[in-house]
Amino acid sequence: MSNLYLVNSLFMISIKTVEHIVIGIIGCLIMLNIVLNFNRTKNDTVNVILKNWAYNKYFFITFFWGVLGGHFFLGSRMPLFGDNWWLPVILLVVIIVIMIVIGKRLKPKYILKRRYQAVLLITGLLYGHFIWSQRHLPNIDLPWF
Amino acid sequence: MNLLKQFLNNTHLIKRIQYVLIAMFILLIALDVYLAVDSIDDNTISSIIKNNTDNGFFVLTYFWGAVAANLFFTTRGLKLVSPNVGTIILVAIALIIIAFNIGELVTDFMLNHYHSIYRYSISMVLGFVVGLLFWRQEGKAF
Repeated sequence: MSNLYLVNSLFMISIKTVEHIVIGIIGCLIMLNIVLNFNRTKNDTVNVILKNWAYNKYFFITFFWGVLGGHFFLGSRMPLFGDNWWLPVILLVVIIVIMIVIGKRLKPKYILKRRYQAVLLITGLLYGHFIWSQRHLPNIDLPWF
Repeated sequence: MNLLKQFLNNTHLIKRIQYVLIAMFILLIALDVYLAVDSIDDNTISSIIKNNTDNGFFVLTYFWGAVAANLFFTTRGLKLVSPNVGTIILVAIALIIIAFNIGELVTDFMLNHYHSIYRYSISMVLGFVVGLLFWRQEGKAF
């Protein structure tokens, strides 16, 4: 624990700094996208690349986007795992790794159907909402944990 | 300038952008893990985004919906408007949301409501619909 404390005192990252990092990354992405949109090569914007990924081997992106939406913006009053904040995270990593493994086995020409995308997005939303909620009441004590 | 042009018009750029994206996501996840275990509370990326949404960046949820429609729901049919016009419409609606402070209006309206926890779904759905109407990509992924 003392080691961790030492590391922390060396790399204090305040809330403001994290805000700047997030805003900076979003700004850089937008700039990059504008440049890519107007250069000579077609179909190389971030949107197109992400779309191609989501419709083929990295379909976990759709699910993850749903999870982020549910996690950031929606939340249930009673998350399923109560105070164990790390459990949903571990579970999410496991799910995504499984999805990547499945995705890697898809044929390169395979294109996911649009309704599967809808299913993935909605499942992700439900996961972020019910399991990985951050808008719940401050102290929750669930009977099964 | 010439060098820059050459660099930007390079066809191998797509591959490189993919690596940039992957590296960025991995770095972000690593940073977030560190932020979660460090001694300052509430400085993870999740909390930052949550706080900023609560402080009136209602427009974030709108863009979530629009991006979801753009990335994951392509169309093969005719598009209503050209991509550039669509982008302008999208941004214009976002500016309207910011300028008229619609986030605060909705928050005030829903404040004491039992379902106020779901208030962001309104703008998420709005963004999604606007994305579906004006900001879609062409189908056939590859």
